[in-house]
Amino acid sequence: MDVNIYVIAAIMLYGIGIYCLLSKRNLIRLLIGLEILANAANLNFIAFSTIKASGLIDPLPHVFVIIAIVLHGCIIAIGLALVIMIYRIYHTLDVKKLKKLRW
Amino acid sequence: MMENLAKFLLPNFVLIIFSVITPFVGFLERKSKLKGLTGVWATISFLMASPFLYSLYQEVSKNGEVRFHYATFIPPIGVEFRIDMFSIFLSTAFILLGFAATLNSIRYIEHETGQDMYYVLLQLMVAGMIGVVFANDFFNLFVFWEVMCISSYSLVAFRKYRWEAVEAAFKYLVMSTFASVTMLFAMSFLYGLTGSLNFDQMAQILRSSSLTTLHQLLIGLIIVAFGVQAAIVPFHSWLPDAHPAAPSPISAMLSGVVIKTGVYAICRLLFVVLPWRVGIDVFLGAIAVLTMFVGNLMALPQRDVKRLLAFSSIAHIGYIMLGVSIATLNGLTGATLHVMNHAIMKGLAFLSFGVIIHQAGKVIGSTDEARIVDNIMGIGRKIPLTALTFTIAILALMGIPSLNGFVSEFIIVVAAVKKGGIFILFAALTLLNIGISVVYYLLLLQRILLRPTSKKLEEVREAPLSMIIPLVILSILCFAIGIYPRPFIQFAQKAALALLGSS
Repeated sequence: MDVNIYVIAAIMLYGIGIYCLLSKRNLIRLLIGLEILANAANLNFIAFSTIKASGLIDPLPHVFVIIAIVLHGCIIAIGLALVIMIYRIYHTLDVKKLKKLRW
Repeated sequence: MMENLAKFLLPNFVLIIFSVITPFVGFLERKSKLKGLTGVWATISFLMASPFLYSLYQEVSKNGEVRFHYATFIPPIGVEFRIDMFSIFLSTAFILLGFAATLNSIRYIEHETGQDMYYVLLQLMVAGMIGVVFANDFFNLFVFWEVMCISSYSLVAFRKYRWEAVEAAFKYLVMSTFASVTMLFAMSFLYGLTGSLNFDQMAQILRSSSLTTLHQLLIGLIIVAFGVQAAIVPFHSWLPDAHPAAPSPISAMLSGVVIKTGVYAICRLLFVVLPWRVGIDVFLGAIAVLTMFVGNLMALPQRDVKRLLAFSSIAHIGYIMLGVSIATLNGLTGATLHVMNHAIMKGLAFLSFGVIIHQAGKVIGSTDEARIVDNIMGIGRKIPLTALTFTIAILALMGIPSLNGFVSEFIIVVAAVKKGGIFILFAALTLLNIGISVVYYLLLLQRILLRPTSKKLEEVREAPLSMIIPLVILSILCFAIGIYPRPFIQFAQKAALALLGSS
């Protein structure tokens, strides 16, 4: 099995995630962009876990990836909770309209 | 008994165990009408964690390091904690400031809802930070990193009915999660290169290979990833929003210690895991100088005092990064000591100012308005004790001799001059920056202390004792390190040696 395909896919996913973070204006889409980025890293880990020895899969990255998915779930949950609070205060999900903070 | 227990219970586990019980204490508080019970419990948890840290310190000073892994999962397959002097030094700062901030919060947040959750998050944040500095593999580092980050997002948004808090927390969440995902991405490549997540094994394997473009790219990714949390300049824009938006004790924690974990991780990876340091020192030094300039110049026009203190944190991260980039024993000693000193003095500044706006907010009606310096001119005459501790903190941040900030800044500048080459220029620019910072600190002090008190501030009273005690403790430490720095410098030197010796 060729690992390169998966690594290239992961790098492309990472690029898509960064594009999503830079170009989208909706708060929920920003969170989806973060999820895409996280999936790129997770895919990379799983792909690399197969190359340590032929016919053997290293279990540690799998454990790591499961924990990482859970942790990102927590972060996205907090992010969505913040989005709800922002919507209650501003009545919009457009990130360009949240400009009360000075830069 | 204590020593046996300390073998199984690291201070971060102690804090996690306490934090699990905290909601029940909060339940008890609501049932029994004993006000402030949860806060006292959280304060006790930090007191209880410190003897565990002390017994670890004794063990580390005997053997040089302590390794800890879960019963049957032997590293490198399992995960591992490795505690050396550098970890001990930083965890001392974390627990000290955690204790001060918790004691200060008891009265500060007494009118908020969800107090028990506040203390749970505060305990978990400190536990996460201690876990980050104890970790010896990427698994532990990442898990405790996220524990710390998730708690700090929630704490920034703790007063969730305020627009500033939720907006700043969302910005912080997006930027910091981007950083931690980038860290995960870089980790996956390092895992692919070495086949291991353990720092020791990774260092061993990487040492035998030469520096390639992929390695340089990975170093760049790692500096970006941890640089966001450390607020190094191109990635600092979340800090001046998030730190003022949090409740003041949390601002003290975030500015004092949470941003230092980013610096810690950069140090640990650059000095221990990645064996090449060619060309990075000048690059890091230039970034450090840029960080100082941005922090200091942006702090100059601020009217909002908490925002000013947040920008001054960015400047101080610049001083610390300069010490790290010098990479000699003296430079690292200065940087390590400045981590501790900045934790103490910036913690003291935020806590004191928190007390000021808490007391002034009662009279003016909103703590937001009390944050603007024009509204609290001359308040120092009304609350002399708090104004005194605030003055000590500001003078220490300024770098006045006989206070602690001077000692470590002096060591860093001298180390930079000794290193020679372009670092002499960096040292000169650092001195220029300290000069700039004196301007806004003195203006701030002049406005708060020397202007005549306005009429509406006549009613302001001195804060309750439980808010003042942590301020007094931290002020005494400021003076202690400033006047008799020798034991602290030796402690920092041991910490720096632990970092340099293992590479």
